[in-house]
Amino acid sequence: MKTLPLSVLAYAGPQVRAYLSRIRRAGLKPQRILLIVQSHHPVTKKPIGGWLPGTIRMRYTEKYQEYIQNYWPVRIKASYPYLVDAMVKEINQICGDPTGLITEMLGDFKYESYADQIERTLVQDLRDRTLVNAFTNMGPETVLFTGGGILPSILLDIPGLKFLHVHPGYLPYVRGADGLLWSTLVRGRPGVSCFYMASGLDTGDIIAREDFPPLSFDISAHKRPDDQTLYRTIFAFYDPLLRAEMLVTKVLSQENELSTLPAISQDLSKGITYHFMHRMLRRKALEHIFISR
Amino acid sequence: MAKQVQQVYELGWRNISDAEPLQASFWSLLIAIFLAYSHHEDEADEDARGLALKSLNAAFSALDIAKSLEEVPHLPTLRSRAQHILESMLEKVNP
Repeated sequence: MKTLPLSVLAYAGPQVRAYLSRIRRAGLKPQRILLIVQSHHPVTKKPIGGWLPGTIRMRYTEKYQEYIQNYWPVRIKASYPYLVDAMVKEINQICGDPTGLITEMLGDFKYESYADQIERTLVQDLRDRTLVNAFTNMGPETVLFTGGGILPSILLDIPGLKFLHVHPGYLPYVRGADGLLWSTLVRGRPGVSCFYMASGLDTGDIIAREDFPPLSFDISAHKRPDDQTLYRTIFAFYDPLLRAEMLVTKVLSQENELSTLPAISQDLSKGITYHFMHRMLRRKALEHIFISR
Repeated sequence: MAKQVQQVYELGWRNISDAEPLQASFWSLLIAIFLAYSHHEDEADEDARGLALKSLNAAFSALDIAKSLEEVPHLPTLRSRAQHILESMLEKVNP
């Protein structure tokens, strides 16, 4: 297995699991995984396991984080297997063995199986000094960002560090939130782009981008779940698998050195930066993605 | 999570600077402006279509906020207009 000169800033959830599973299937592995363990709940901001001593708290918090961030993928797979089956059937045209990838993502996932070096950092958020120090001491490095909030300038400005991000939209045309849904309504097909992160939202230099064929998942034979479940299904499976496929095939499997990937700057006069999609538009996007005749 | 982000960030994803809501009487005008920007002529122009849908998205969000305020005039008419625009926009692309 070839070790890539790449660190993964891992934030628990389906996205990082999809990346790591797909990277491994390509016969690759990152040299290091830096796992962010959030000391506070991402929504309520309450401390997690604050009464526990150091090492035990880290383990407890990591388990808790893995549980809550992977709750919906596990629940949807168990409660709505036909949703996942319909999706797999179509995504099969784009990436090989999506069933195997999903099984791996939802299984007993151990970061130790995906890189030789695993570091865990208990932080309040991405601005936490511990995280900044960890990156400052790292030296020149290419880092794959896997989510967990907006990357602050205090990290982006560390000399020698380059953050890669894979965005579910064809840049520069689709920037911002809910990229896959906006791509569906505006462009009629999903697109994915990999770029070097910069201070603006999805404005960094583009390394690779790809338009995928229009995809829709036929669930006519079953009772249609509510929109919230369908929306969660997209972010549990569809979005992570497309991003992982693009990252591996268009960026990591190329012959270029990761530290010197050719990139083109974006024409910022083109494209739209979108916000979260309102439920009325979202319903329309979901009707295009999940077909009930 | 989306709701929380919407309450914290404004245009350009800057931290929100003015959390005071607009006076109730201005909401109808604001929504009407968003709806006016929801029209576009060239179906092949994806940016124009995106901008129109983005304006419509903003109109729907504004309608939700306006619903929670008292005495915002013409809200049912504006909502019905927004729904009509949404249907017709998406019908053109996927008849």
